[in-house]
Amino acid sequence: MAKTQRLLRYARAEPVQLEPAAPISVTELVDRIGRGDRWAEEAFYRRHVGLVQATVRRLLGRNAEAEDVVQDAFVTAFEIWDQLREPEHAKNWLLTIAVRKVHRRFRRRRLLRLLGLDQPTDDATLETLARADLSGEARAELSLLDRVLKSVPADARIAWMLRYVEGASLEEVAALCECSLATAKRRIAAAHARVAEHVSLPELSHE
Amino acid sequence: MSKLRAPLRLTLDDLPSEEEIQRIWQRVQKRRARRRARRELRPAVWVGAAFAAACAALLVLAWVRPSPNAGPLTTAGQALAQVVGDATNAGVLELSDGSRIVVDPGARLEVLENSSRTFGVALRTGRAAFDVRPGGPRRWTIEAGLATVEVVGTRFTVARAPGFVDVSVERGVVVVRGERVPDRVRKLVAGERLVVREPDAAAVPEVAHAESAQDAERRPPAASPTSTASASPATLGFDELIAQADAARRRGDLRAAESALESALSGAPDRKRAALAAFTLGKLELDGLGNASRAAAAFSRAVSLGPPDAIAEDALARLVEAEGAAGQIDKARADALEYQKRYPNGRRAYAVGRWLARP
Repeated sequence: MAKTQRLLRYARAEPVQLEPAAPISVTELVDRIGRGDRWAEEAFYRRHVGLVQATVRRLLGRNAEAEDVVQDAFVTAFEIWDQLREPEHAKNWLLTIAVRKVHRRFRRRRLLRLLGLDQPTDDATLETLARADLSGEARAELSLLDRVLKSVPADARIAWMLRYVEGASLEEVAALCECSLATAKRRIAAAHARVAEHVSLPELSHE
Repeated sequence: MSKLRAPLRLTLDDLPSEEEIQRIWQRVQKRRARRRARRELRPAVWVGAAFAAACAALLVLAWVRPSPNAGPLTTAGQALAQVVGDATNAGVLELSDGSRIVVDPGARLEVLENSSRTFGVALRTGRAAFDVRPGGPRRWTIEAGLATVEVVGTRFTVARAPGFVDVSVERGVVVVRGERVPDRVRKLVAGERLVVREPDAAAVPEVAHAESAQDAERRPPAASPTSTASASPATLGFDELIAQADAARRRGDLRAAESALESALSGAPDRKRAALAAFTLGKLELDGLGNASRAAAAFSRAVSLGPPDAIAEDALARLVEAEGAAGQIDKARADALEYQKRYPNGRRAYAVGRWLARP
């Protein structure tokens, strides 16, 4: 009898309204991850995986390699979490790790190519990643850009893409590539000179 | 004008799907778990690797480090002389592996090969006693003309004179090889002795029980040209006397050879060896000294003693020849008849038959 009444009371009850949790600050997230909070780790991952995945995929131009690098970057980040000195720059720190791994991938590709073992499967070119509503001419230019970038050395290509594709500032490019500002500028200029021979992309300031 | 504007990401649409995000997260978790497991295993792996490295290092050290037995044998830290032996003094070689060689006065030992695997010497003449350290890495080989002695670890003596080699084993086992060795190879164990002679010295090599070690030590150096003159025949054994006679004959001292053979004949330990000595004496008298009557007497004695089969026919034929040369024609005829009777198709039938054909 008492059980039936309890069930009726539940049935008549109004649905509970769940309020979305207030976004947790980066500092707190970093702190909680440092204390071994698994939920914080996943939250951090979900907050940044889109950016990291998209950047790495565009830099590498290969889906499988990009996914592997993204996994590796997050694993490494969580392993060396105690080396993160500035919690507010956690995103750039994570991207730096990812870009470092992209550099490594390019070196590995070059070695495999020398040994005749690299099988090009560029299935994530700029053209294939273009928005659906992009015009045919723009797609054609992206395709041409893809071909030109293939002939650009990896260091210059990465620096140029961070600047012209991702829209990073020169200082950010230098930080992500872990090189000096001058080196970053030189790399970007070198790549852009090559690009400009084929695609008339408005030049961004190199200063 | 280009349709593209920086940043180009605005023209791209490549954000990962929820499915992709979940898949990557699961794989991140799996990778982290694997790395954690590897980290936990790492100390054990390091210990194992350190142990393996230590074992490898020990192996390399054992391989590289020169062992006391590595390289050629030395004596007192010095390289071995190519030739060992002195005309008057006994030489003792204490070798770096603990082995010992005693070279008798007048003996001559030449080192042919001296490496970490092999130690080969040639005993040119005289007697040398070898005490080879058992368990050593080297194979010892003693070349002694008529025989080659191979040994790993034992104590034995090799004596060599022209036409004669005597190997006595005191301890362990040796292998003696040579054309004149029965079946070309013979294993000798402790207490055994093998005497190998050239065909004209003795057709059959003999194996006998060796003298005791003490006897061997006491025994004067045999078969040594320098020791022959000074050694008293009375103190020498049969084999040494035969060897001494051969040595004397080869250096042209036929009287000394005759004397040694007479001593051997009188002191022969058995009839066969006495027959050998008598036969050899007969040849010396007839061919060397030209004394046909003494030769006939010696050959006659050899025949009567019952010589070994290998020389029996020769002994009778040479008796006929000696008797004929000594003018003992009747005896020569009688013995020639005996020869024809015993050896109708003998090798010396023609020469012997001439005495029968004479008037």
